[in-house]
Amino acid sequence: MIDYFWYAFLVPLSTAIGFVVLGLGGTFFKKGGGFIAVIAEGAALVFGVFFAYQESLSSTLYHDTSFVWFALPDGTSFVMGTLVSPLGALMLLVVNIVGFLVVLYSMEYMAHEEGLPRYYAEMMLFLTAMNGLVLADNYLEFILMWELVGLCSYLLIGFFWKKPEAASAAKKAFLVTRVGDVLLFVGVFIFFTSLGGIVDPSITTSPYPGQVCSSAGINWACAGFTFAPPNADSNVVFLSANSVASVTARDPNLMTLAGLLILGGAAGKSAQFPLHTWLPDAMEGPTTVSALIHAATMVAAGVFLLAITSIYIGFTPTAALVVLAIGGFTSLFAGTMGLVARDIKRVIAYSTMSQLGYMVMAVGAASLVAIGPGAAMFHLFTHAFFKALLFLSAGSIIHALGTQDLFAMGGLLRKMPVTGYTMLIGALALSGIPPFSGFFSKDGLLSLTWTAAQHYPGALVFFLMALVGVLLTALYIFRLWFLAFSGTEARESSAHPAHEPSWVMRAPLVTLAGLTLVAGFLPLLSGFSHLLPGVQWGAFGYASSGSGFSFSQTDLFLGLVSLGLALTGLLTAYALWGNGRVFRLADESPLKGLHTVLVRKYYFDEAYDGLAHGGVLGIARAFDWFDRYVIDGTVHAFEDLFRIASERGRRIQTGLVSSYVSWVVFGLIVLVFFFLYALPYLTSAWGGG
Amino acid sequence: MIPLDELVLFSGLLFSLGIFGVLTRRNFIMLLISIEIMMNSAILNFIAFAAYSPAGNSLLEVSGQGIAVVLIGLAATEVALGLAIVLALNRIIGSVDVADAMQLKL
Amino acid sequence: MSALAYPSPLTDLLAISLVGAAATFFAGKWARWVALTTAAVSLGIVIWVMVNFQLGTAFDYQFVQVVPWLTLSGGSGGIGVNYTVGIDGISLPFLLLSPILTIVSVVYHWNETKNPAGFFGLVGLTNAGLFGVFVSLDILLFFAFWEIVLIPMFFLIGHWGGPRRHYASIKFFVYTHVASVVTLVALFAMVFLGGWSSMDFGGSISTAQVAALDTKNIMVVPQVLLFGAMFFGFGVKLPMVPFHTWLPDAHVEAPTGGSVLLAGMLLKMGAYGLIRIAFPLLPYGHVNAEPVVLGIAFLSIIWGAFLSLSQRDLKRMVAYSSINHMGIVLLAIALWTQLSVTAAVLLMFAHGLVSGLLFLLSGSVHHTYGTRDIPSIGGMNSRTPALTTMLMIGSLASLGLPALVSFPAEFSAFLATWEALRWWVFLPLLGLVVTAGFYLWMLQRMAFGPPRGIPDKATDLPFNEMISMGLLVALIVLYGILPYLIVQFIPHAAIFATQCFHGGSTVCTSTP
Repeated sequence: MIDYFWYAFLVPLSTAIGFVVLGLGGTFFKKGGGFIAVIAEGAALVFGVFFAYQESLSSTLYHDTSFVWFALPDGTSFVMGTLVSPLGALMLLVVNIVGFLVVLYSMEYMAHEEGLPRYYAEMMLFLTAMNGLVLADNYLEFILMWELVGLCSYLLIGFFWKKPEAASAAKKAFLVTRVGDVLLFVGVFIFFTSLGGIVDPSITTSPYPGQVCSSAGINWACAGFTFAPPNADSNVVFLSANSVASVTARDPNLMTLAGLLILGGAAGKSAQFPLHTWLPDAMEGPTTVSALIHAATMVAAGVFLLAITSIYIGFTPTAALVVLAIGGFTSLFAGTMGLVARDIKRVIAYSTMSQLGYMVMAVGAASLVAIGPGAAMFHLFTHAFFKALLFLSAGSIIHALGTQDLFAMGGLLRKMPVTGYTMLIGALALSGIPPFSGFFSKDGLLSLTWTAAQHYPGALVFFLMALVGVLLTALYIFRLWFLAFSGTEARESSAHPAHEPSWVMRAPLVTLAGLTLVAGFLPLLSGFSHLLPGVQWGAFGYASSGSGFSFSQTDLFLGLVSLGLALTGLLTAYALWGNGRVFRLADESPLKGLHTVLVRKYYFDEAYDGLAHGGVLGIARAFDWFDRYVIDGTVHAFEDLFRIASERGRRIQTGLVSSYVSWVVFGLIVLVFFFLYALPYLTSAWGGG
Repeated sequence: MIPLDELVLFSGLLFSLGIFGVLTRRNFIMLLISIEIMMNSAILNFIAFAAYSPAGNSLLEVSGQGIAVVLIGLAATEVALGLAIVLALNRIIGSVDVADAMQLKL
Repeated sequence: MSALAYPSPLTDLLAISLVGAAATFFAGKWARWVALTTAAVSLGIVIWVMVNFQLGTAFDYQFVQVVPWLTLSGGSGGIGVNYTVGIDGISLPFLLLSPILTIVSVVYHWNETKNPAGFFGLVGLTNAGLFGVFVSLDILLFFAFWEIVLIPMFFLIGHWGGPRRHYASIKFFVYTHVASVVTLVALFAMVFLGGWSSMDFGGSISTAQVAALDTKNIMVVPQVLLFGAMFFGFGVKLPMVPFHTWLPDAHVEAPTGGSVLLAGMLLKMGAYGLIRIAFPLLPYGHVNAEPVVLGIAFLSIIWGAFLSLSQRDLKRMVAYSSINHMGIVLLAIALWTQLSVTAAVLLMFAHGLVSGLLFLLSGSVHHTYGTRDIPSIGGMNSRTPALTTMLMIGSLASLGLPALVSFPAEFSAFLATWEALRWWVFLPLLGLVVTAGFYLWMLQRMAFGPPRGIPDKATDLPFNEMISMGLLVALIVLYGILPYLIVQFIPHAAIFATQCFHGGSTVCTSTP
């Protein structure tokens, strides 16, 4: 069975071939480029599902490390390899199912755009890098792919490059995540130097063929960059010998810092507070890009990073608590901003931030109670489908109406029933209403966080924030849905009459809606539950545990509370915006101030712009002034010195022979005096010789 | 035989006379003559020391006289070159005053 | 180090490139062909050398040839000055880079109209001089070639340059020449103080030379003084802050091909001198001067990054980013570990390719749009998509994107910094963020947005410019994906350098 996994590289390779073909010969294919992309991604989907299935049967780790990127003679190797792991297999499913549907959807949605070959080539590059990322077997390779998906995000956000907003949003996305990347670099450096230094004497065989683990010094090949420990062929590994646990006793603060730095990287990619500002702006990209990259896959890579780090390396309790806190806070923080956005895509973007916050929180909670991050990964899995569904439905509306303003829409359900009902499924799943998938995954992670809060009371605050977030989630997503679909007709007449798209766009919607329905029940399959280490599927207090079900009153209570909150949110939304009603805050309302703060996104953009323009650019200007006038000024001062000296000095060049001769004679007299009188005196004074 | 002191003193006087001429005269020909005088004082020195060289050291004697002969030849060459320059200078700037030949000054 | 029985191919390389450069001057309208052929043949020889280079087994120099040349009086039996050439893994990447950049420059300037024979001849002469610098294993020979490189570059800037070319060329020359003189004094002082029997260095010879310094009791204080002088001399070339202001002026005024060679190769000579001479031959010196060197390296990184951000001229921006990158190189050299020296050499190789590409692009932007002023052009992508794509690739490569050649180098350099200096690594990483910032800001303003300031006659890249840039892009991607191809040569030499010549006296007397 293991032998199959040697071919796991075929998943990224399929799309890589697509990228090369489309990148080099893009204009040659004209409209046919979309077919090539669909074929390439279809192949990747087939391979991805196959390997995920195989992994669900075996649930062992598979290492293939045949590609040495470069090596140093002391055995230090920078290796690119394949790691087929349960989490990676789950991600393979997410990336390729959503990827295939989005590429298919693009064929109609993007058909009339300029620069299609570029679009498909960049999509293929993204899918290649994303598949590479989930199959990466060490941090170095992970960072490489991580940067590449960031590049594709940059390129695709800037797809409509003639719009200044798109160009600016692309730059912002790259730079903010770059800050996170820098933190991630240092975190990896710490893990590498600290964990690489510990060599378990029992481990003598390197996971990399041809490498020998030395017993002293640092060795990439045997520790550090490697996610999974050597000999990890047994069952799902949790907190291996080469992990934080074994170093924490020696240097707990450093390990905490390392965890926080890794969190910094994840926060940049997954748009967590305070590096969240780029995600709403990223909606300047095409909707398909938002669905694939900024909802389902790339932004989830941050959560994936935290999950694999918590499994293979581990977080110290302090670091895990901060992870939980950042996630819990973001889930509420983003939800509040989603409540007031007018742009349909931005509402969904804020909801993405909020849901990613839940996942980050769940990883932190899982680390605190020392179980696998399955709950977070389960939510990641279900979220990918319903969030892609929401984005693609929104794309269908935008495609039909040509506007993204919620207040210009209304009464669309009659004209676009398929879009409307699929989006309703997505919204219900997002709000956590049974039997849609979001209910199961959200319940799981809330109950996990509650458990963690039992042991670490500090986590309770963030658990409550997350609970309020549940209410807000239902409120804003149904505000969106009611504003767009309820009522009888549009509030503003659009250029195009609303219409249902063709099957090319409807098929992905329906498929995703179907997946949203079933995804919540998948952990009941024993094979699938292997892909979610540490998860306990359950609902209303019942949880599957091995053979049967267990019951917990606390969980029942939690489930009812969160369901109640979600329903409250839903009903409130109906009361305010349902049936074509449009609720707006009155100008004299006391909440108007809060409303402004939310619309201005808590002034984070202003603050960061101020930091960039006033701070960084100001420093740069000051340095430039110093460079021009002080450093180069000194150089010019030397220049002046020599010029003035030579202008003075050339005056002795009179041009009169007699004056030259008098200088010669003067020199002669000095020499005679020196040799006749001064030299004998000096030599005698120095004692001769 | 004239004492060596007097010969050297005379040579020094001649040299000073030459320097005085070089420093004060502006006429190129007078400069040449002054330089010749200085050179002749040097020749006189060589001959004087050759004549007073230690007895039996014929090498010093011969070399002093030899250098004197070479210097006389050198002086002749120098005058020839100098006069040629004077003629050329006269043709170019119409004067033999060195103060008029200042084109090399920046 | 054992001399070969047959003349070294490196001698052929020098001879062919010198003769070719000389022939180019007199080749009239065939000059570009002669220059291209010479560079291509020398590239062929370098590739032959790479193929026949023995990996992993020998730490010492290969393809060595020693021919006695002069004997200076001094020491106990005179100081021998030899024609000694040879290469190791540290010099090999530069040997490969030089003809590549020469070919790129020649192809880019294929339609040069202003005295083309002179231009191509000087480019060829620079290439020949660079070969000499990187193969010389004798201090006097090294220095002679070092000076040979300056002269054609002076004329390239001074004759083919922009409006302020005279100022820039004089500034370039005075700076580098003062630096050279200081270096020369320090080199000679080292030779005579150490009582060396020959001016050879490198490999086991270096070990003996360092031992000679020890026996003459040239230890901490004199070594620090000597090292300081050499560091100044090589550092000006690097360039290090605050002796860097010649670089932006020289780059802005230099013709495009001249900029490519200047940034791609001439800056590397300084770092090469540090790796090859100043650090290994003065082990006490560099250990004791390390804080100063590190400080200057950090200063250069930050200074270069922030100054790039404030530039309006595209070429000036790229020039300042070179200061930033060479600061990382200096940092990596100063750490003086196996990993860091490997990273330094790799980063220099990467920077040669990437900055070469960026300077070509600056030249193309200038003659396509009539200006290099970043704020006055916008939406380039609508008129010149190929040029814009190249500009994007070049910028991304320079800001250290993975799968492009700078990434493995920068990552290893930062990793080595973390290992040695811990939290100080945030300073170069801050530079990394700022670097990403100014490149992306430039792209946002120049490449994207609505078209602005585009002259009517602007056309996309001509064929020859496309070829020269395409060559560089191909190499950037190739070595970015397979860094092994170039890294395999470096670390053995880096081990030898760092293990044998670190701290105090020689640690090892034979190959480790």
